[in-house]
Amino acid sequence: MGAQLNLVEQNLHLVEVSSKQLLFHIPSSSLFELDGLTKQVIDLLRLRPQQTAEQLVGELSGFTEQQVSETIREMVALELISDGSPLTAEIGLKKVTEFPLNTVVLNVNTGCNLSCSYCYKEDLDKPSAGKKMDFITAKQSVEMLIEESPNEERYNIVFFGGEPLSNLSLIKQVVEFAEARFADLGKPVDFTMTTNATLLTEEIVDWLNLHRFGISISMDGPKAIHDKNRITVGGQGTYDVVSRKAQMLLSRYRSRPVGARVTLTKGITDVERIWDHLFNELGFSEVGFAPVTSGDVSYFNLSDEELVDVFKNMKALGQKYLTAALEHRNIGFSNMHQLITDIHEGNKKALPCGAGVAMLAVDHEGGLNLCHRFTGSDLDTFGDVQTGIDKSRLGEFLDQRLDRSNTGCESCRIRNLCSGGCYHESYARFEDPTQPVYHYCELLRDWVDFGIEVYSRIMAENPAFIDSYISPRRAH
Amino acid sequence: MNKKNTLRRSMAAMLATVTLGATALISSTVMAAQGPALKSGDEYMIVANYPNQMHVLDLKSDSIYKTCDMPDRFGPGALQVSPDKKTAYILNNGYEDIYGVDMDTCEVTFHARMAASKKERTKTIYAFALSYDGKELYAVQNPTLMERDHYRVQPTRLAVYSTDAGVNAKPIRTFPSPRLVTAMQVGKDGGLYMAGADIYKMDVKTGEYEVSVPSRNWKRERYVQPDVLNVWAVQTPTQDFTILYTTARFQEGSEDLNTADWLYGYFNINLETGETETKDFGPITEIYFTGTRSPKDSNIMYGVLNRLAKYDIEKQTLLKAAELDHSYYCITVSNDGSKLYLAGTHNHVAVFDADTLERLNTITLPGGDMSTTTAQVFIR
Amino acid sequence: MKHLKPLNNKAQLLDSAVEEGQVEEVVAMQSIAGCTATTDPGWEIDAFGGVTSLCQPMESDLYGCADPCWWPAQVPDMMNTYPDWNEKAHKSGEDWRNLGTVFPGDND
Repeated sequence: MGAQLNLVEQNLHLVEVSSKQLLFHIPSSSLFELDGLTKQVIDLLRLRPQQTAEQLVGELSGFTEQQVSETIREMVALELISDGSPLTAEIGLKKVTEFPLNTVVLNVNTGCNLSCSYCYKEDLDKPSAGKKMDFITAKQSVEMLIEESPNEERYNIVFFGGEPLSNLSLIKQVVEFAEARFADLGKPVDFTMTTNATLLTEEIVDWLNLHRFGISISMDGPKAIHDKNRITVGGQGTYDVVSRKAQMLLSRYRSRPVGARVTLTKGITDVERIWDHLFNELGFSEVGFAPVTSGDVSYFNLSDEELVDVFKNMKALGQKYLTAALEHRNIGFSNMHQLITDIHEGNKKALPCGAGVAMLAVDHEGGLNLCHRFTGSDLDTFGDVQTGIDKSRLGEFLDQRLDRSNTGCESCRIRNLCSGGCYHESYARFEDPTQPVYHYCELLRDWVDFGIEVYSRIMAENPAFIDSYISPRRAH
Repeated sequence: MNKKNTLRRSMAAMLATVTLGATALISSTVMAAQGPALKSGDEYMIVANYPNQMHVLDLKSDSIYKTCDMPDRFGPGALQVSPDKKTAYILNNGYEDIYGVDMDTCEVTFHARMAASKKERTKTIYAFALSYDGKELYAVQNPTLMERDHYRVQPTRLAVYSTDAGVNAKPIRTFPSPRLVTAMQVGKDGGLYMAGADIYKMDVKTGEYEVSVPSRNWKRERYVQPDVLNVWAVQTPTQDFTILYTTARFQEGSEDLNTADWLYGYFNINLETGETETKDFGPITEIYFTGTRSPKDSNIMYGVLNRLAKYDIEKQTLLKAAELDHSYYCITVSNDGSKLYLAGTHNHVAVFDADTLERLNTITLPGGDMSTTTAQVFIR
Repeated sequence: MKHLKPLNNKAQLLDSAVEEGQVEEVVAMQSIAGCTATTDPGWEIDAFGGVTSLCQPMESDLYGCADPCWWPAQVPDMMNTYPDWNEKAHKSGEDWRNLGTVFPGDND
């Protein structure tokens, strides 16, 4: 007789690409190409579940018994077919007890010299009222990082704000201290910063270059778009000065590639035009888009229709990305890079990001937050650098996201890539950081399918693109 | 996975950890005195092995006299003995440190880290030696600067240390050094012989050096360039610094390797007189890693790898060969020339009669493989 | 696997895992020892084109090659990258079964 077989639908997702049948194995984020036989087995079990192997062999008269048994065996090994035995728990981890921190984000100044309309920082201050972090707190943050994770291979210090350059003197102190401290430990340390660029001078750029900072400049696109929201306190557009400073930096910055960070907000959905200006006209190495869907001030949120537009446009730019990739060219579209990297590596995320696990953000008083978006927010901190991480509370918070039961994520096909989405978005939209971001699930699922399509075509027609432009982006 | 296999594996693992546990009890900076002081007039041999020890063997009884635990980690365990026969210098810790160990107390009395700064990763590939009077120690260092996301290879340098500099020794002089040096010895006249592509002689006061015995660049008519493998700077009873080579000699008027004579030979520098020699001693029929001449009869050359062999140098013939239980790398001879000691590879020191090549004894060391340690024989 | 063709890195890993899972018997050493793309005599054939002048047995030469990262030999580099490779096999002749294969660091 034999066991009755059923498909484990929640473990598989089929995508057809140029008449090839691909299978995304969700528990492991692996991607396979199916042969005709496997596809037929799936179709048959969908048509009539609970068949035995014998029955399937009977129906698949075009194939030998050995071939069919082989296929069934492989699918059972991958838990795509179940014979009734219990399935492996997808997320083995039930509790977060280890915090392998490798990154600390320092909010060096809550003050900012600009007043961008959509800014999510709850604690944003005018420059004169900015609360600055002192060196002792910064030093304690670094020491906390080292004490928590003495065995990481690399460490990262991110400077955030407000506008981080408005407290350059602290940044310089921290860099001097950290370089010596990590050299003593024989470990490399990297510095990164996102800036509005208005405070850059040639001297500052050269100093950042000397210390090999990873730099992102916040720019929203060509003048008309940028000046809509990236304004001074007095309401003036900043495009002229920002583009001038950006070009100055791009002309002398050699140590690392420089990216542009674009915020897409209400009324702004023209992804391609923005990318074209920043990548082709200004010369950024890459451009990354962050759609505002859950801003504190909901006026700036992209409407549902606009969000559909944004994803449509991202896919259109993604098609250009694919065309270029097949010609072995890189068009610097960060969002695609990230998606392709995740698919190529088969990254399986139990949690949406490293916040709270690999990374913590420190506010000016030394309080520990999940990430930079949360500093100064109403969400309680998880300890501080003076007394240490409140691990039990932090663990409890993360455990909630680890447990997907009774959420829409439980059976979603992109659950191991999205993993419920950004905590801050959830917090801003639903006032609950543990609530998954349901408002664009469909769009994101479609985006991932698009990524699978693009990826499989690149792998089929120019796999060297992956080696040259994607593999080097691995997190470790 | 076969259950039997996993059981056997865990037993082995358990046993391994038990021995490791014992040695881990001893702190790495203060070595407890393990065993008696050496006796004046007696002949000894030192070797080093995994997990990380140095053994002193008594050659009268061919047994282990004492064992000293070494600090940090094993690798390569290359050894040199001070002229007063009191201190053993060992290159260890992944080729990154040289320690001086008082053989009577097992105490580390000297320690030099090859890296000049925290940013350097510096290795000495076997090349270190003591001055004739024992006051200075020389090491060829290969530094790499470890930058944040790239390496920068630095020029090779010769560092000079004062042997009384204690456990935090820093170089007192450094000079640019020829590269690829893997064995060194110092002559009575103070000259430092460095075996690399050629064998150089360096003035350790000024850093100037010149070729003393050409090797890669030798000019021997009808001979091709020699092939040399040598990482064992054995301090011989006759003060000879001996390195084997293989080469081929074309027939008269020919350049055809197929008809050439394939020959074994040796380079020799007598450290006392400064006399140098380049001499063939026999045809190649098998490989030897090290060779040494008999102190009783300089016409006899011994070689070892898979067999122990004895050659008549003038006649260039193999006189005798003994089968071995496994390969040995490093051959040494007793001061009176009566016994041969084979070391390296596993943890056996094989003892042979130097005349008959009869196997007399096997000294099994506690612990594991000796790998590429240098065995040194001396009379205290 | 025969009917599912691995496309991404994860799938490749899974592919070999599935294959191995089917082998019930004692797992033979899967790494290739002593096979090198160079012609250094001593690791595939000796200088004479035979095997008698290779170190005997091969284990006796294992750490002599691993310690100094002897480049033509296919052993892990114990000089820098894998200093603890033999920590359970100090006696190579007896405990070589405790020597494992090595992989680049993987922080998944």
